[in-house]
Amino acid sequence: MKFIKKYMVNLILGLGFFAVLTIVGCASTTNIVDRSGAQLWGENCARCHNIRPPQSLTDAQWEVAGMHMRTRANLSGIVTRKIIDFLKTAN
Amino acid sequence: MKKKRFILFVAIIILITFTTQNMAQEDTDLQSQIQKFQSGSHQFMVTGYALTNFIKPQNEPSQFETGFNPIFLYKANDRLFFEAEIELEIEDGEQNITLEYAQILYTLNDYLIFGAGKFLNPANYFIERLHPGWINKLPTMPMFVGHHGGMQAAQHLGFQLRGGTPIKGSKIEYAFFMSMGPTLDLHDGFIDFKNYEDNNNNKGIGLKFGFLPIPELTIGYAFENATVGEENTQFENVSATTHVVDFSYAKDISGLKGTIDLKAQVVWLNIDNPNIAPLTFDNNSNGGYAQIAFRPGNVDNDFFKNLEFVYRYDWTDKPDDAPENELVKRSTIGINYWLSSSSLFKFAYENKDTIVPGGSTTNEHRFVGQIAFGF
Ligand code: HEC
Repeated sequence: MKFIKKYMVNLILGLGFFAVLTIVGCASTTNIVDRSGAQLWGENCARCHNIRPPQSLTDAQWEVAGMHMRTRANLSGIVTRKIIDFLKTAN
Repeated sequence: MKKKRFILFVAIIILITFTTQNMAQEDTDLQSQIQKFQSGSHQFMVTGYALTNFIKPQNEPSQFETGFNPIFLYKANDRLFFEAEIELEIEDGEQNITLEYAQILYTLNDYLIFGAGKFLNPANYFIERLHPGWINKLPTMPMFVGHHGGMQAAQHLGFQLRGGTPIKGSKIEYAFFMSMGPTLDLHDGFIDFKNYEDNNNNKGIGLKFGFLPIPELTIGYAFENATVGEENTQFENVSATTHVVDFSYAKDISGLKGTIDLKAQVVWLNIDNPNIAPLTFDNNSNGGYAQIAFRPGNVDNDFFKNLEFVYRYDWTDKPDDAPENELVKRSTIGINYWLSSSSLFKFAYENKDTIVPGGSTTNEHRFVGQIAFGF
């Protein structure tokens, strides 16, 4: 019972927090899908680890690593393609 | 004599011409082969990471440990992909080889990917996204994450559907999975996550949601449920439910000339109480961690910009009446020195308190050093 109560409190706090963030999120500037590959790369590829320099891999390798990261980071198809295209021009 | 020499000379010239022509032929063959390979649609890549630890516990002999994790990635086309990681390690006095993950992935559309095999647990943010040596900012992992025993599965064997969708300036991510699920261990009333042979027909399920209102912030919630008791026994209806919340924030802050990185994850695990010996207690556990790291990456000094300072607090709290009831709390401080974007030295000092029923506390501390390299 104590467990359920604790869980409910956490859930309510969590939902409240989510609501505030949704408002913040919707208020933020450009739509993700309209952003450039370079910007999306900067925003998405430093979340879990240091950004890996574009020069470190070849075009073909970026296609493979990009697909790997798409699954790992739950990126949408369009965002992944833009980032890979950017990496292939910047390496 | 002269004639013979002349014939020999001509023969050599012919031979040389012939062989060089042949070589040129082979050269173009090789070139066309390379071109064929380059323009082929299949792409293969071997990547991975390696690490070596040095551990000095308070009252025990110091140890070295090492590990090497090759990762194999294979892209057949824009939809079909395969990923696998093998873990080879010498740790805790043993040499282990494990299949960390092996998964066939098929992209259904821009927002959904299907995967089947052994995969990192989507409900376990730390394991899925932060545990490789070159990513994890400390040489150790939080105790509850279950890489070597813990409160959450590190991997699942089954299938998953996952993806992400941008909504204006924010993003949601999601995963649904079905797997063997853990099994109940009647010795300690806890569950065993290494389940390679299921003891019932009921499969474990899990859901994971993440919300990114701004790119640098992720807030996640996950739920897992599985029947863990063995079929045709008194425990066949015992199930385990897990709730998890996670948090991640990483941002370059110009005023501080560096990057702040905050991570946290908390798990609540509830196993049914069937009131049949030996399981006659409320079987609720929890565990979690919170971590802060700062790297002054934008200062001018070459030495300081490669330094990183880390603090982590983590705990595991087992049920009060369980045979192995204990509350373990650990604090770890660390200093890292980055050699490249994916290689570093880590120096950490940890202080651990284990509190058993009756309130007696044992304190242990140890030093852990590591070098890790992601390639
Ligand atoms: C959700 C966390 C996360 C995000 C976001 C992320 N990565 Fe990774 N990345 C990882 C993990 C974890 C690994 C280690 C590989 C593994 O464990 O499978 C990795 C490995 C890599 C590697 C090594 C090669 C490989 O494929 O394993 C490269 C290169 C890389 N990431 C680039 C990127 C790029 C580019 C982006 C932006 C699109 C990105 N990462 C975003 C978690 C992440």
